[in-house]
Amino acid sequence: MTSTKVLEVKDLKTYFFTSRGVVKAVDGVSFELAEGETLGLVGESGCGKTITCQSVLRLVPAPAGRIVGGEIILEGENLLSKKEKEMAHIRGYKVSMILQDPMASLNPVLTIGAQVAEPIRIHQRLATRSVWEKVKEMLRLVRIPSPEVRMKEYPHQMSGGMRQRVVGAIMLSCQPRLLIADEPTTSLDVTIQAQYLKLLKELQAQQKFALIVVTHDLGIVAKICDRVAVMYAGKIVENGDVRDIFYHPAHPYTQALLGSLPKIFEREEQLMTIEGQPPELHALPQGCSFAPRCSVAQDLCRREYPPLSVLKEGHLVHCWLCASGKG
Amino acid sequence: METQGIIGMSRLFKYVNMPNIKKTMRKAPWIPVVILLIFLVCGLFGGQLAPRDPFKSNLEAPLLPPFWQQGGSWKYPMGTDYMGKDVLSLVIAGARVSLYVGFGVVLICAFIGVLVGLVSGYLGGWVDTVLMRITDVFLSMPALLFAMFIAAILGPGINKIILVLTVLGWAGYARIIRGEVLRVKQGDFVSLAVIAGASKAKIMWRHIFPNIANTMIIVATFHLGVVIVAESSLSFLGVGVPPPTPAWGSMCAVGRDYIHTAWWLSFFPGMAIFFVVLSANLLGDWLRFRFDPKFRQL
Repeated sequence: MTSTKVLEVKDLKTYFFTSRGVVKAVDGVSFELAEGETLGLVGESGCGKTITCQSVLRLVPAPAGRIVGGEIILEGENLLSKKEKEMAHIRGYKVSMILQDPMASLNPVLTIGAQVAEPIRIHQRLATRSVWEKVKEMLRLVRIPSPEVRMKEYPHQMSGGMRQRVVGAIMLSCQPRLLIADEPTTSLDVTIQAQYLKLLKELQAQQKFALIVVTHDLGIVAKICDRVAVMYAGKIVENGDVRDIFYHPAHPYTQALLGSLPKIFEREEQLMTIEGQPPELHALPQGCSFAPRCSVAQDLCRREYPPLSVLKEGHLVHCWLCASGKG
Repeated sequence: METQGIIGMSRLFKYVNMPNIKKTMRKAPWIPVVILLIFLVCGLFGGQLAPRDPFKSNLEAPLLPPFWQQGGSWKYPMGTDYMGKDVLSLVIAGARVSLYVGFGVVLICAFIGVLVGLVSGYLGGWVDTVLMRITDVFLSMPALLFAMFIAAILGPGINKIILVLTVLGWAGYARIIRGEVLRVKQGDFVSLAVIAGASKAKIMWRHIFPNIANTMIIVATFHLGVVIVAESSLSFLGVGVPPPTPAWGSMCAVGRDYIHTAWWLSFFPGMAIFFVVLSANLLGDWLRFRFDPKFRQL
């Protein structure tokens, strides 16, 4: 992809200040995203995926959570230096986010139409008639049958898949430059999942927004992502093209993650697992945080955090195994 | 601005509206509803409805008993008082004070209480702490004692009664509404609204308020009963509505002197209070049952 850069996150640090100590939920995360590109953010639960996304929208749960460092540059503007008022105009307008649970994401007492209209009303000055035209158009875009009727209905009159599509319509109604989907399909049926992802990709092709998909489903990543960032304990340990990650995973954690997928053609007695638990984020081990669970860890790994190694253009990894040849 | 308000009101009714209105209404508590409607009509059109002028005394017919007792007549179905005034007309006319005070206090309290509850619950932090401590202060006041104290200082008067009862009543709303807001604001749809860039005021009014409107209506219905009793108590004690205006509480008080000879003077206004308050509570019970999602059937 050679098109324009939409989002650039540089050394983002989001910490939580709790009574048990400082929890480094996101600790020096960097990545880039071009127009129309899809980034998959994968990792175990609690590794900082969601917090990374919340940080981009500046919606880290206050007062415990705070972005303590780094830069988030959206189309050349640093979001971290924006005032809260300016941020409100960016949310829903330039950056949108889809949440996990379509059942809970819609307000039970407002009609579908009113909810799709909301961001349009907030961010664009349009006459009431054009707002409703726009709502209809958005609902048609996400394949809601007979939108004129549906927009007058309430969320409880719709199925889960339909509701999730309505959420999509709400979030895309202002043509954002960046859409963040936080486990968009976790609570959907498998058949609906595929449909929804396909729709998301089609919309992306039309509107050219950059997409961040947070998931722990590697199948989804393989299907829809261009790039993958693997997170572990608040850091991105490997970042690269989806093919590189799947065919040539460099970091032992990525390898283990891929190894833990059940394979259809190999009859295994037992699934591969990653031994142990992810570390507590307020008491990270010295050196590489994956070292205690890593089967190939050396003394060096337990002493110092590995530097960034560039395996090839666009394939970055933090691991001593890859760095050893060069230094 | 005017149309905005009307749209807001119609929206409010839309929330209260249930999809299956017919089924809902079949189980409605009709008797309390009818009693409250009669109360409402009497309160609004008491002057026109009363068979006789409640202010006109007839010294030729003092202390006549109700029609079924010896000496009573259909001319005065509930008898007359010591001045020969028609008790039925007085009871009907007395509904106005109860209605005025009851609805006045409930509306103002609901407005203040919901506002405080919404802001406190949604914003949280020090705003919440400050507002809730103030609420605690008002909740801990000994209601009737305080009301008598203030009424005695300000002197009797219907608007002063409303003021006193409002000061005492809003905190209950604030406390309950805040609790509901804390529950509702956890919903993903609130996060979604934040992500969509909605302002705090907009989220509170458009996303949270409709979800707590049910609770507000239930609290208000129960509160109506409480306020009517409180107003009657104050009038009974002589610190409420001043004498020439007919009020149920003061009518009971006047009748107390005649309780051995003319029981009907206190009995009928007392029954009026009893039925209206009971009806308000029964309606409140039904509303709670109807609106509580735990009991709701889809």
